[in-house]
Amino acid sequence: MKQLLMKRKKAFAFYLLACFFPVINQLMSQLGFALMIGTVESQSMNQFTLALAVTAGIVVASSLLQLLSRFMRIRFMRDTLLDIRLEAFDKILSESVASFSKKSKEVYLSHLINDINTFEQHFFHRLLNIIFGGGVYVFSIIILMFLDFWFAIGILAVSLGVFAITKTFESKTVALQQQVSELNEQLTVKVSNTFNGLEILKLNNIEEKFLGQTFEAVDHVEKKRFHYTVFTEGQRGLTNSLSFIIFIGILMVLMLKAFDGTSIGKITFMLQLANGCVWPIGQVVPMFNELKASIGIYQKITGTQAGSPEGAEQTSTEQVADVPFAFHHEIKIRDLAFAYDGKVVLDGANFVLQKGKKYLVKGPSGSGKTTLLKLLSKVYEDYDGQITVDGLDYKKVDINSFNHKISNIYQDVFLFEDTLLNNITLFKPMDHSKVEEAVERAGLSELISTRTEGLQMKIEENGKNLSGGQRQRIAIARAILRDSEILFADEATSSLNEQLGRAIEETLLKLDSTVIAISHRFYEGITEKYDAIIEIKNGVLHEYDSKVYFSEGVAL
Amino acid sequence: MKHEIMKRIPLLAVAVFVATIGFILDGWISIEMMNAIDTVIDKDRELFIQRSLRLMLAVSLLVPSQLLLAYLKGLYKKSAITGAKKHFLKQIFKKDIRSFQSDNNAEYLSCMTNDVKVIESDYIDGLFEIYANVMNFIVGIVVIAYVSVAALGVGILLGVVGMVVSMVMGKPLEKQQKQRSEFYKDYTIYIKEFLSAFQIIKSYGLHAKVKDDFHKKSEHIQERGYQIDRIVSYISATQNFLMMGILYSLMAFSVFLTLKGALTLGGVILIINNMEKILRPLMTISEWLPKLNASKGIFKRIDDLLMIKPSEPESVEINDFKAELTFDQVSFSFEENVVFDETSFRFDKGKKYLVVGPSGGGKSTMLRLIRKYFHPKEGIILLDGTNLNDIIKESYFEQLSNIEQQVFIFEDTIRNNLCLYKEISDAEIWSAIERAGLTQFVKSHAEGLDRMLYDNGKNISGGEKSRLAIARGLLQNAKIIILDEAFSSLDRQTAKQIEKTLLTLEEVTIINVSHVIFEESKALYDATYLVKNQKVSLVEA
Repeated sequence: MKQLLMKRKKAFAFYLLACFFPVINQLMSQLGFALMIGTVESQSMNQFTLALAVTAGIVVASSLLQLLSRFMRIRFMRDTLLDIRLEAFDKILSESVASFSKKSKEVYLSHLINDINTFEQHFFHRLLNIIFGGGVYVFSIIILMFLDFWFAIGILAVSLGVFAITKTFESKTVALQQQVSELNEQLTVKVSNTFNGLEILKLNNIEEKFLGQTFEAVDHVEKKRFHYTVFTEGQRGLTNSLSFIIFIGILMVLMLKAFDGTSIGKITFMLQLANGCVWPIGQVVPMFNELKASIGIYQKITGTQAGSPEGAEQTSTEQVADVPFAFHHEIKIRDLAFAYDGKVVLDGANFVLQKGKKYLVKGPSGSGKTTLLKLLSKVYEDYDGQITVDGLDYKKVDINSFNHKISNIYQDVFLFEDTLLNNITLFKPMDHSKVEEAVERAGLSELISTRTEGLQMKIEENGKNLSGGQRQRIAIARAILRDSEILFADEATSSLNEQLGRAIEETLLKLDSTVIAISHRFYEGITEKYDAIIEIKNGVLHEYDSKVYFSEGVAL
Repeated sequence: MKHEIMKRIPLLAVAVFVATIGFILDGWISIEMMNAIDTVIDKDRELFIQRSLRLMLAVSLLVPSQLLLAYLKGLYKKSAITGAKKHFLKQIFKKDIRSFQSDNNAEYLSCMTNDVKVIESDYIDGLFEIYANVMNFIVGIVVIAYVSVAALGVGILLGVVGMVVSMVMGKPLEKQQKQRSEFYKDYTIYIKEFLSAFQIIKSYGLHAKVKDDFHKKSEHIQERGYQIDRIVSYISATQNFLMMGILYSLMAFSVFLTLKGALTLGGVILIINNMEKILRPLMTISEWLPKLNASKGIFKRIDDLLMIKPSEPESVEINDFKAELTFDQVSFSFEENVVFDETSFRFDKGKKYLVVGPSGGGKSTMLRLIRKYFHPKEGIILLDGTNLNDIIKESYFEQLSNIEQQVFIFEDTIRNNLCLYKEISDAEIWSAIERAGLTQFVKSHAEGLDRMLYDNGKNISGGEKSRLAIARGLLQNAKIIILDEAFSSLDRQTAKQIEKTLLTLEEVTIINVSHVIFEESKALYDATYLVKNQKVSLVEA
């Protein structure tokens, strides 16, 4: 964190300075006010005019100072936040696919968006407030000490007392808030489930009972929220009353001084300074915690925690994986066991994939089809058992040489804001005739013919201007063009209509590559052309000859 | 829904009343404070002490009044929010069964978590804030008027100017913020796509390109954010300048009044303190009014969603399925598609039917027609000779049992999930469990039938859920069992087994919609229907 801030030493210094300006503003306006009130005592028109002029000057100066302060701050913030974004992104990009898959995408999304927003809020704003609050406190006490030493000490004592009081409320508020939010989440999940099941409830005439149950859950949440409201409102009311009481106390003490001859102007100034001292500590100290927490967030998203290894390429097995990928005969799976999220997916699976053959993976949802593909495409490496390619342990294969020889067609298609051509060739120079062939076989010719730019047509942000089916065809064209040794496909034709899906399935089955595909679609006359069907049941793989499989259990 | 909340007006009124007492107390304290300060100018120490004591008495009442207010405010909110949520849920539950398709469910949930939530925070809270602040404003005015009507006049004038200023400045500020969130929305979508395609990016070696792209995008968004921040800075600086000017003008005016002898020092202090009591409510009200206005639209949206469409009148109650369920020249269209065109077929009691056809061909529509979710546009569906439209839903549903692909598991015991809260003997339950192949699942835990299932069956496999649904279906002892792709989560062996069991049930009509068919069991069906090309036709064996 220090590195990041020190990167722009001068700008950071200016930033800190800019945070002090509000302190000056506050002290100036308190002075101006005191001057004004002073004229009530003196009853002098001249003094009034003078005070008026000074006050006007203060108003102008303060606004300018505020503007200046903001500009100095936002520039530094912009540059620092950009750095953080890039650091966080680079960290994610440097992860291996295996370690990336260990966490859900939501976590990374949060790192790149929410966490950075939280950081912006918590770090910069809290820093500003800490400097402001701390500055006001320190300067006010110092000035008071010059004006009336013992009074200043008294105010110091009061401020510490107030701090102790606010601290005791803090933790309960946070705890209550969390409870309310948790209960609310639970209620939402419960209601969501109930809505989904209402059809069945109605079919069986048992909705009333569930309505009652749901009502109870609502009561439960609202009761907790009631506690929270009463507590926080009560706390707020108490704090306000206390602040009022303290103000009046200070006022009375100062008025007694007036009886002893102190000028009203001076008293007014002291009153404002004193009042400005009492609360800042209570507000500022919790901010230190939030500041620390936000630094923690920074460290988390950029991977610069103390003791964590930079870059996450090493897997836990610490194996050296540097043998180039060579697939000439078969990939063997032996006693493969793998669990994900605590759930056992594969348990003693055995299978042999032969080069050039086409395999269809079937099974109910959640049975492990995608997991199997991920294991075979070296996304997951922490499995038990063995996967060998032509006798060589998969784990020893160099990931880069592996990636060169395989291609994927998944449900999610990533498109660059570039030409259609580049999206298909993925920026590698390719023979034009091969590109045309791939385009044809992927069923993209129609799309190209409708645009004058043809292959040069621009794909807009995230492929906004394309349908789901068109995006999938681009993914298919990519795979065809790559002409890899193994093709992994996960529901490649699910976004396409029957006719096009058929044509593409046929194309995929005609490729030279070894194909491992997951699909729930059945295309009469085409799907039977798979060499074998792999069914996953209870963590074990069963192989069926496709002819036998489809004549037995196929729709008319 | 607004009506439900309006029912809580009495509670609101009590809370506002107590808040007003608090404001009056504040006002009283201000006046006592003014009196105490004035004794200083007059250098009357005795009077000062006297007045100070009075002041302290007033102050001591502050704390209890605040606590009481907190309690009452909490009570009002609890009552209003609970009423609103319960009303929402009750209305949803009342809806017709056909309203619970998945798109609608997402809408209902989103309405509850978003719209109802906004009503909670903007409307319910807003009502209190507005009424309380109106009272605050009134008390503030009275207190200042007590001291100097001139100052009050000037104060209000300045206050109005201030409000106008903040409203005028507010609009461009809002616009800028909106623009900002638009940028971030697009940026977020880009990042989501990147994360989804991580494996592809890595495996195709596209790191450099993607990194470059991302850097550019981030720079862009940060720069645009910066531009917006600059504009916001100018706007808020101007706003601050004007507000400060207003406050100081008022103060200067009050001090000027003292020079003219129209006001005392205490009076000046009172005015300064209470101006805040007038301006702040005005600010608060101007903040909340637009929110309250916006909620009008939201109420309408909620009420529209909750509206229950009037259903066709049903008068016939049935308690048995005796002979046949006949579709006679039935036509049905859904949105733009013609699903059925004058098709006729029937289901006889006790017979077993297989229904096949391409996806999107009309199989699920047929089931929905059977379940009375829809009425045929033309033609008629007859149950034992009576028009299905006339039959009372609840009595009809007793005859049907539905086994779906997507199974809903209640957060309750296995027993209740199977019996659906009806009284069924253990012996019958175990028989159904066995026939559904669920025995091992139930016996695997010590609690057996009393084991609790949580989270919509998160820890249960798809196959086990299907078997649970089948056992459930069997226990309903219905005359017609409809299976809707019920076997797709099961492996072939189990599927074959359960199918055989179902096909041997006597006196029960089975309608099995499935794309998985086994040679051996084909023969056990009495007939196979093909749903295709807007017709339902018998398939020759």
